[in-house]
Amino acid sequence: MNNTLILILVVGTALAFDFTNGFHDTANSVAPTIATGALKPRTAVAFSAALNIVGAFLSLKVAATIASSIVDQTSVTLAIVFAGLAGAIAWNITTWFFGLPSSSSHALIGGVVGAMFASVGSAGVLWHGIAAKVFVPGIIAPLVALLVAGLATIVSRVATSRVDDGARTIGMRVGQIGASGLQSIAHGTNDAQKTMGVITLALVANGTLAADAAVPTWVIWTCAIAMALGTFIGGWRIIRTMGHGLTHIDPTQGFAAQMSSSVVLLTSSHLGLPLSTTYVATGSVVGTGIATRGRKVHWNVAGRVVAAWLITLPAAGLVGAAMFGVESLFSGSVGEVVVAILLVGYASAIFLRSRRQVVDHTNVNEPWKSELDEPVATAVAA
Amino acid sequence: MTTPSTVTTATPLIDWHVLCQVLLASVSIGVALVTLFSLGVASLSVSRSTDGTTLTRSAGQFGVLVASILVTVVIAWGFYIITQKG
Repeated sequence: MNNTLILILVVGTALAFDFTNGFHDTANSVAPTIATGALKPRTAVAFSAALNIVGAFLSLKVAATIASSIVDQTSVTLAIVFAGLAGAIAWNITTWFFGLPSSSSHALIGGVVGAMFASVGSAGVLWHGIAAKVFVPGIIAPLVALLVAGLATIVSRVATSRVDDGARTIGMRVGQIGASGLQSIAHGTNDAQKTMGVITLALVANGTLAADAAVPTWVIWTCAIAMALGTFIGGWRIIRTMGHGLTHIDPTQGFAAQMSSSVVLLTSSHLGLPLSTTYVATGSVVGTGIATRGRKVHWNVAGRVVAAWLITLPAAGLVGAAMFGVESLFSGSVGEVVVAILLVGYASAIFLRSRRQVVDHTNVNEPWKSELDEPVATAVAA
Repeated sequence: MTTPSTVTTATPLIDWHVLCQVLLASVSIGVALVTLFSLGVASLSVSRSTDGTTLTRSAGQFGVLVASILVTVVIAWGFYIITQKG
């Protein structure tokens, strides 16, 4: 009974993480599309959500591992996975509240590493793997994207310099929709599969599935739908930061940024150096702002985003470790229930707090210098 | 417990070869794709121009066709990569 309850909690929490992954990372694929008016806000998130589902079914090469090469796989238990998921969800909700685009994958890694550290100590954490798979790609991703998007913006402006503004705007908006679709499919394939992997791992650990069993169809469907729901609800605060907070984006910049992000992500993945979607998308937007004459990049906002990146791993790790500590205080599955209650309480408190200063599809495209200006500072001060 | 860390330390922290490949491929493919699409937009504009000659309009239509085919090929490559990874 205890094992079944823990399994239910792990599956439910994994789907909750998948949901937060959807609404947190929507901005990566739709923020420029919305900012330039290529698609209306609701249409953009619905389009992205539908393609998330398509992506989730495109490839099913799920590895039943979590944080592979980051933690000692033989020491991973359901309690660690559960605490790690709780840490990742808490960090995703926190960064969403502050409108900061941070990596959901790194949050999950941080949560699991923290829980592992609390469980078996430093021996269970593969520090070299963290450096090679988290820190190094974290530095490389935005810089490569910034360079590609910057060059692409300049070349695109030169190539269309004789085209009248109306035709160029329409053409670039069409290109943006295509690039946004490609990113949404890739997101569905990559990130929904991570949750499928977590749930499959839990089912195998519980003895519900054989180690070599295929991923059950219900797991694929629930993961795809949870992510799509999150995407459809839209992380408007982050979309606003990505679309307006970093720099002003016109359709040429939007297309250059989104196509550059797609190419960098697909190329790096193909060559065996997968990069964070969030870091690449953010780097592309900043790159296109730098490459546009007279365009101002809001470096104070960019600085806060980078600060969030730097503390994602330790912050999610601390919560993951704390949650594992709470689990350990109780016998049986009581600890997991307490953690679940704490998580729901925290999520509810953050949601209620966010209602004081609502950012949604109706005001996501308000000019950055408005009453919604600097949502982070306003939220903190209020 | 020593086995995992012993195994992973054999892997270099930064694989400079792959990093250079990613950089070169991303810059060349990314810039080429955006350029192609932009030229396609410019060609479309020329093909619809009312003050151009028949020759320039035909050249514009040809440009749109070539750009569309190449962009489609690259997007198909993207789908291929998406379905191969994971």
